[in-house]
Amino acid sequence: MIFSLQQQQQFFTQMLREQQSPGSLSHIEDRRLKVYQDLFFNNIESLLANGFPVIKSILGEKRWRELISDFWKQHRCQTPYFPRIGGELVDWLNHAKISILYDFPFLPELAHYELMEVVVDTADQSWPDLKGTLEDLRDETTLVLNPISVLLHYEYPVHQISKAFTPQDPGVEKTHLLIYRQQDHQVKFMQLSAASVILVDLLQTQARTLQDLVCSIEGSLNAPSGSLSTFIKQQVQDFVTRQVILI
Amino acid sequence: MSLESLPVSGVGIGLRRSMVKELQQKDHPVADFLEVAPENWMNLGGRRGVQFEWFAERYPFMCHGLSLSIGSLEPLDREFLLSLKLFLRRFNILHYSEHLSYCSGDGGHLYDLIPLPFTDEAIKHVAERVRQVQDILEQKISVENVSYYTSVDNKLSEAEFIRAVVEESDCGLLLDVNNIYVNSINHRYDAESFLKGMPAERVTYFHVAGHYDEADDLKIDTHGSAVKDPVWELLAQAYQHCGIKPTLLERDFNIPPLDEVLAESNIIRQVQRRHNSSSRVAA
Repeated sequence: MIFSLQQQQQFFTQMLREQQSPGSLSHIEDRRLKVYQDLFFNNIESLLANGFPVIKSILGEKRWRELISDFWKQHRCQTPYFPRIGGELVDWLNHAKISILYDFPFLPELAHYELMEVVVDTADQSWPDLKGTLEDLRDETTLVLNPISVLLHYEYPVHQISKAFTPQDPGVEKTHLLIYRQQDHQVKFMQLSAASVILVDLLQTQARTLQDLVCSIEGSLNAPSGSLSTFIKQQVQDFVTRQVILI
Repeated sequence: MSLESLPVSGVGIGLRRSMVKELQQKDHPVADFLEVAPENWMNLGGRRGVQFEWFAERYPFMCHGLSLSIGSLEPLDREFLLSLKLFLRRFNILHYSEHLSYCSGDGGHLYDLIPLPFTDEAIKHVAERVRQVQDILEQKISVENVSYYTSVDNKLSEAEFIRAVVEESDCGLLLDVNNIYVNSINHRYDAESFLKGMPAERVTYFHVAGHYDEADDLKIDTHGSAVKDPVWELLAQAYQHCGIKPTLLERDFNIPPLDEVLAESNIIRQVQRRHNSSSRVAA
């Protein structure tokens, strides 16, 4: 009997997705179906292991494979690009109903953080034509936020999570992180204070002079004019040195 | 571009990320061409983007796709094809090939190759899809014979299927010699007669790779070990049947130090030289 192309494709995709034979066309040797199931699962597992080394080390081999198995069965990846499959895992984790989240409630945020490192590393964005150094910084200098950066806010201190530190509850305060790429393509991250977040937020909206920035921050905090000037200038100097702010 | 004459010859290697540093340390090109899966390198900036530009300036490139899912019944991903077209043009990629299989079908990607049934229905479907892809890309592509571990209710032979698809879609054939060997064991046919049944005039280039011996009657196409002797012998026979075409060594897993990969790619050169000298004697 010849099955239609439709029937054949349905059989194969279902057999591979569910990791078991759906039966209807299953007069094929089990050994050969198993080869396919293992090939496909090991392929997606290793593709994701590259992008989420911290999660894999925290979960350990067995629970990691269970997580990927749930993802594989429940989610339908849309991206044809291999470096973007990690984004599909993060999207899925954000609404997945899986028991592993009771033991590791920070997983969606940690996965997002690990993904953002890759996203910044591979962002298809070129370095702006700004060559100023710290010596060029004046009150009227225009400050541009590094366009290859992301400002992230997490409930958990995701940058500290490791096998030895797996918090069960969110931090008392939010964790603000900035991941950015330097001109030599190195990816860096830094934790930001609530005050620095205001600064970065303002520059994210638009480039401004140092003078403007001081006025805007003082205004938004109802602080007397000039009272935060020294603090802000120090912060800006630090950001220029790190290439978070370009001038 | 006519299919028979890709503007490259000799020996290529598949570019993998783990080889990048070692390759960049060489002061001269170490292969006649490189090949990448476009899905691994498209739309990447940062160090990956810079690396690709570095290689594209120094090496002729082929692209061997993985995600197009040419045999799937789901609609073609036109957005992907248009991005691909830009990528191929931007980096002067010499040729683009895909697998004669599919990798999606239940509403999502499965990221590996699922075998097509060798039926008239599948030929008609795939040939139409190849034609559509060639129209969108405005260039001829090649399809590759894939390794497969089980087949379901085939009406035709694999060779009949491949011949019909490339004829009906008027595309090139990327002949993977390791896949012929692996399939000949897994599906009990004679590799040499299969090879002789391939349309030599449509063959654009060859792939060779290592495989894994799962059992006496089951070989897995892993690209994770050295090319085995019967595959080298089959490559020599392929040259006899089709003439020498550009030939690429694929190594995707357990990647050894670069010099080991290059030493293995030199075996391809030796097979090509032997073929040249024996055909001169014959002439």
